[in-house]
Amino acid sequence: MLITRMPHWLKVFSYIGLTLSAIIYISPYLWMVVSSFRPSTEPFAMGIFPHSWTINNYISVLQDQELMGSFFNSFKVAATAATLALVLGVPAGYSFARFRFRGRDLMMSFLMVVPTFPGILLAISLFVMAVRFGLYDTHYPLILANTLLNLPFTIWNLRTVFEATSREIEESAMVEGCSRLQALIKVVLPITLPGLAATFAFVYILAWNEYLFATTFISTNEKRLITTTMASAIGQFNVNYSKLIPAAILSTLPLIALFILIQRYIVKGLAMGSTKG
Amino acid sequence: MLEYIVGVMNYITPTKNFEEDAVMRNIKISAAYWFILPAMLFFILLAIYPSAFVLILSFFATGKGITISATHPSFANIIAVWENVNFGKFMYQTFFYAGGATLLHILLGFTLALILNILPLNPAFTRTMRTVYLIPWAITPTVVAILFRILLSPQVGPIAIYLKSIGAPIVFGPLGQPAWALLAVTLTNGWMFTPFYLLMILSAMQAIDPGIYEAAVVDGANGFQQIFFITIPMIKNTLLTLGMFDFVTTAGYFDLTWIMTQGGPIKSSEIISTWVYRTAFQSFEFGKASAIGLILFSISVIVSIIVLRAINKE
Repeated sequence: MLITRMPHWLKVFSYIGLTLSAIIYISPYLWMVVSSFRPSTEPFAMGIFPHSWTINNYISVLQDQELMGSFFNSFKVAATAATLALVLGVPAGYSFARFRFRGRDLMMSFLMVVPTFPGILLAISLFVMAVRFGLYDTHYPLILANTLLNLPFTIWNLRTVFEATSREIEESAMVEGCSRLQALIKVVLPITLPGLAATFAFVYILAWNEYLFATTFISTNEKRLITTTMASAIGQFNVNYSKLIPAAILSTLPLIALFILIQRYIVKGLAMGSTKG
Repeated sequence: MLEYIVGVMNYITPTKNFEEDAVMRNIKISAAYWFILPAMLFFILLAIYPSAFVLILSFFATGKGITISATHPSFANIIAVWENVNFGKFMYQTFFYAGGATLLHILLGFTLALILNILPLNPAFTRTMRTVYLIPWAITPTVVAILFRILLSPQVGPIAIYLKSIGAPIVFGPLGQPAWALLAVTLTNGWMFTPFYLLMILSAMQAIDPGIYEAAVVDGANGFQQIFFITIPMIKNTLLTLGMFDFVTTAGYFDLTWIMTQGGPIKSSEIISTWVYRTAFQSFEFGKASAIGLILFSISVIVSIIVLRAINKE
């Protein structure tokens, strides 16, 4: 935009330079991917990259009961939290997108303020609640906490999703005799499916990534999520890297792929908070 | 608190033009509240009520545990925090961590966004680059912390192994050294979260009307003048808002520091969030932990007010 013409050599240089710097930027993670194939018998001191390659590490992760249990727990918590966030967020986001009402601005500002509230304070208060209701060391407070943390974004993002659809379709459905709720469910939701799926996926990723609440609310090893299991593995005196590194890759690579797939649907909702005004 | 919300509200809610539908307006109002009710109830039950409880804890819970021990409110917890010999040290470290990371995110994010935005490259290439740069932000923070613990490890880390192989006379292990641990965590935070700010700044830059640049070119402005007199002023408010959000959230950020160093060695990378966690979940002094947390929250509110004032002044 600023520069409209560039000499050919400079253009070639920019392509190469940018590609290289991007690769260097993500090289720590690439190193981790490569290291996950290092045989467990090969000491790290032998070199920065593995001398021989093996997929046995991955097989041993897949056979590890504790790790697989943690993966499943993470899946359970993240999927439930994302579903709950969507159930609560769809009507709220729709309402913000379509109606003007008293207190609307105040409520939306409130949604902006929630993410700046220190998570550690929320951890204390929710811990106290969990203990009082006898839910400590269960997945319920974790699901609720993850829903709570991600609900503001869910509502903001769904609002932009709904605002992008024309209101005429649902209004014609209402003329045909649908109630507003029916119009939302039968007409609006099907056409906004990509945006809904992306929001679900993003909340799923964030809930999967969450660590603070997972370590606060759970004490039994079998109930731990993958983040807490890995974090306690790195804290051990003898770290089993040939299991930890592949587990870390298995827990991140699919989500990175998912994230790349959905990013264009969430950028607008994310940017909304910062670029408005 | 109220001023804070009003300030935020003034800033973020531009008066929007809604297509008014006079016939439907009456139905709209009641439906609007019913649709929002579930989410708001959820917030009240899980955010507002427990937060009020933290406030109560900080004034009434003086001993260990989560029971309210005192019958009268006292400032004992807040005074105890204030008089802690390490209070100044932890505050300084929190400001170093949050301030340093914020600066890194915004400066590096801005530079990268500018490069991606001004070069007349293939749009598909630019999009791909943006996606690749985003990857660190998509990695689980726990895994980022584990990754850098391995990378910076004096035993198994590739940097230490390389230095050893060329016969360097130093032992490389910044996470175990009080002088370097905090900086190492700050830089890791920079690596992980810069992509998010790059994305935000880039989308703000792309929202600038190209016509403004074209007009400036007609008037004879060169590239630097365009950056300093168009790009930066146009996204200044975005940068300030992002910076504020960044500082506030980083000051309370827990995961990276806890997994990388647990605040050590000898508390050299302890920040407020890890201090709160330690006080609450290792010493079980919930009243005191709440008091520290409230200080953290006050800092967030003060920083937000300062920045929002600066933006509103214009």
